[in-house]
Amino acid sequence: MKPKWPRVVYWIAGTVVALIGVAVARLPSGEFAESNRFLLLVSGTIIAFVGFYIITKGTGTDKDFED
Amino acid sequence: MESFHVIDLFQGIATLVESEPKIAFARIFLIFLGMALVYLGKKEVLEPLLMIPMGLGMASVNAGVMFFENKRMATLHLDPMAGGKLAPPGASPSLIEKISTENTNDLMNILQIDWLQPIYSLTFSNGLIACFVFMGIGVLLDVGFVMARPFQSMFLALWAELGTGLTFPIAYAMGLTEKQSAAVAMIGGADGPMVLFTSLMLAKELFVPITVVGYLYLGLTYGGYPYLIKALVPEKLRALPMPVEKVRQATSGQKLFFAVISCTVLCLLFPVAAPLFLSLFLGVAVRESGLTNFIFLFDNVFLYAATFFLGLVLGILCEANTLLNPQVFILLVLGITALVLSAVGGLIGGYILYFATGGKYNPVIGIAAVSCVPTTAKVAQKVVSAARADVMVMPHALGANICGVITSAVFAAVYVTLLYK
Repeated sequence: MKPKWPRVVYWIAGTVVALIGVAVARLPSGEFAESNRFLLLVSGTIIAFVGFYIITKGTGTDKDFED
Repeated sequence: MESFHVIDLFQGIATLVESEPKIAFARIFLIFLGMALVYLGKKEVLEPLLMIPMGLGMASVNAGVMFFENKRMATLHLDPMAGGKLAPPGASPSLIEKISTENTNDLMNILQIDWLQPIYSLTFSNGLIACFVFMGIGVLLDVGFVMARPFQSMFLALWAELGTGLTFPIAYAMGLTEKQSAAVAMIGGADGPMVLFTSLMLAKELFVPITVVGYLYLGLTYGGYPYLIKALVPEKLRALPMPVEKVRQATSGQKLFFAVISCTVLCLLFPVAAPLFLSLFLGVAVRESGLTNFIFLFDNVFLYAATFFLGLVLGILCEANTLLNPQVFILLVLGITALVLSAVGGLIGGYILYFATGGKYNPVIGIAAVSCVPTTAKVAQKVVSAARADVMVMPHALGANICGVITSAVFAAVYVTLLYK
């Protein structure tokens, strides 16, 4: 199946999503109780991995992405 | 003239006679165990690169005990507590760390006497050797396999951490502290450097037995996992061919981009494990940048030198006194529990994909997600080939295998982030 958007879109979107994961996991960590901290860390990590997954969708040669 | 005993000429034997019986018997047992490891390594039942130096080191350290001042018995190999004072019984790990950094003059003396002390103090006890191994592993990893099948690889890798997750509460219930439980649970990740790193960070007082148990069991995965697969996956499914698929090949630039983003994001998420992530992805970056001299350096020098010294120093740390710690038996039970649970988890993941794809996915691939690179991927292919010679699962297995390394590092980082204080 041909990718819908140009390769760079997947790369940028994936990177942004992964960084949102970092923000979820790290930024509020000091203000929350231990149990919430664990949840935030795990949620942030999962979001970061979704970002990696999106980046891999931008894999392929120029030919794969041509209309 | 003082009385002279011939046995004093042979101090290795004299120290055996002078020791408590349980120490003497443990030393003799470990000498023979070391010889057995060398034999099993030579026969390739266990991983020879690790087991031959480890076995010989174990035999040598338990044979080469001699008398020092005041009839103190020790060896000229290394002193794991060098520079430290004896901690009072029941001292907390943080107190032991504090004590062991107070006595630098003694450490300097021992660095000049014990021949392996510089390797131990400057590369082992700070985790540098684990980073060298990771750099070497990094240049061997082709992240293209993960990028080709990201969902399957990540899904299987998560299941294959079942042992890492479940062993933690089991260990805690068996009386270990939270930090010790996390360190021993990392054996389920089946990644030696990770076990070394986590135990150094969280349970320094148990780092020698945990690492030794971890590496001994990792040697067994090659021999034991095929039996586990045969017990849990019927031959019909082991022989299941994977359908031909059209995979978009990642270019080296894309792999480099993926490595740089992954490294940066994971370091942002888990700064405590940043040295491990950097080392792993540095290897990947060097490989994908085509820096051939660095590839040679990482692969042929760092990886082999680090593996050799890792095996040798681990063998030398197997002194009878260290391994007679009553917690070692608990660690032996927990280590095997963690590895078996992870393997079962990987196979459960494989079965889920088998049913989700309508019976088109070979469940054996799940075992490859246990991140012992590349051993478990080779085990998966070997077992599948034994069931049906023309079935190729290696590309899928390598994707899961590489993702397993990253997931293990993430689990180690989560444990260290939550428990390190």
